[in-house]
Amino acid sequence: MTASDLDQAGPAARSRPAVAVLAVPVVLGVGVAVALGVYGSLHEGAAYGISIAGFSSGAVAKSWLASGAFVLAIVQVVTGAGMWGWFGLGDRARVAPLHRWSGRLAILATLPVVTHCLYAFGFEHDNARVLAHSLLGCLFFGAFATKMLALRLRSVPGWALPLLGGLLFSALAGLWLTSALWFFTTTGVAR
Amino acid sequence: MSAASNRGPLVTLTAAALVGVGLLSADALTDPARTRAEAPASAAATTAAAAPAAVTTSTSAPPAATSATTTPAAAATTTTSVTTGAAAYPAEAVYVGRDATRRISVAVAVRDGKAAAYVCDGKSLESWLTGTVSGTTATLSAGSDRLVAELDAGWLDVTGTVRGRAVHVRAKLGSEPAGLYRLSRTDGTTIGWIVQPDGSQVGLETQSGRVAPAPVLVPGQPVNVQGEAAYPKEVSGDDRI
Repeated sequence: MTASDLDQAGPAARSRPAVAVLAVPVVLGVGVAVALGVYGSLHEGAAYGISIAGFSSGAVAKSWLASGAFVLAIVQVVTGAGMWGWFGLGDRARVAPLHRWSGRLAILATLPVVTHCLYAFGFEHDNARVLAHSLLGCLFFGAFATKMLALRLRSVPGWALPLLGGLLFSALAGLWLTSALWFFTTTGVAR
Repeated sequence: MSAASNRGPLVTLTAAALVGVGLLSADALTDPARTRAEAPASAAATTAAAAPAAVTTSTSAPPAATSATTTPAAAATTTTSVTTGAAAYPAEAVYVGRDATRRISVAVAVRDGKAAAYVCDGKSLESWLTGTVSGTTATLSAGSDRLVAELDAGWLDVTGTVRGRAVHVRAKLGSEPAGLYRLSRTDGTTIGWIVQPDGSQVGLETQSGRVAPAPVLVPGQPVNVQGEAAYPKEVSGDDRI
């Protein structure tokens, strides 16, 4: 399950993509998810985080950043499908840059949010919403790491990237529902 | 796929990891649990040289202790509370928490040797208490309501009786927007809110003995009370309540 797997699977996969080539990205991605969960559990929630200019509170800033990431994630799904010929978006070379950069922006938008979650709260399980949010957060960044690493492979099974992309979108949608939407509906839409 | 011997995804992943670690480091470096112990020293110096001795020593003595209790390493050893339990209150701080059943919320604000607390269940039970701080213990009262708040390895152990009900809450040091908020109007309307670190809040509005749920508070923004915009204030330990 380590580098030796890749050495064997990599060349073989050039002709026939085997599931095994995904072993390293998946193992590392699971490692990322577990590491985030362990850090979140061990680190005592500090109830503090650096503030982001222009918002009345950290929770508001996080809610808007998460909402921005969610909108970009929809762009991700559309352009991702477009790269596989859907929606008549045209040439893959034209769609790919949009897919790449909307993805990078989406991840960038999530980083202040996840670091605040991790530092200020940690992994919590007080209620179903908080538990689901904590689990989805770990899943999201694990899936992100897996997908970035899988993109580096010369050849992967055809279903792998759509699956990982779908997983990323689903996790982010769940994260948004259990945080930003919850916040806006309980506290009100604020800036 | 013709995917990528390019380095793009790896660059993206590395950049995301670096930004994430950078933000976490920024959190840790600017954590008020570290800086709070230094900041009030200047505030206390400008406001009053007459501050009680317990407070002036607390600004200089416990920086190491207060920051140590919130670091991950120390958090793992919170059960060995006796060793770090000697830390005194910061000159100014607010602690918020809920009881084990999550029905009763408590917020305790301390400042310069004085303490103010609010106990609220969000439905009918509420009480504002005031008191004094001595070493690691704050003693508060209001009528027959009594609370004792004891510092214990970074936690605040709050026990007492409010409206005939036993209260026991482990509260945590909070920072904005978590905290204790109050609105007191000339027509006798008083509203209290406790905002927890996770953003949830409870509050009650009282006017001439009638208790109603408080309007939703967005810290820093006005609330609508009987058609007028009013500005709740963050309660400080030495507020007169």
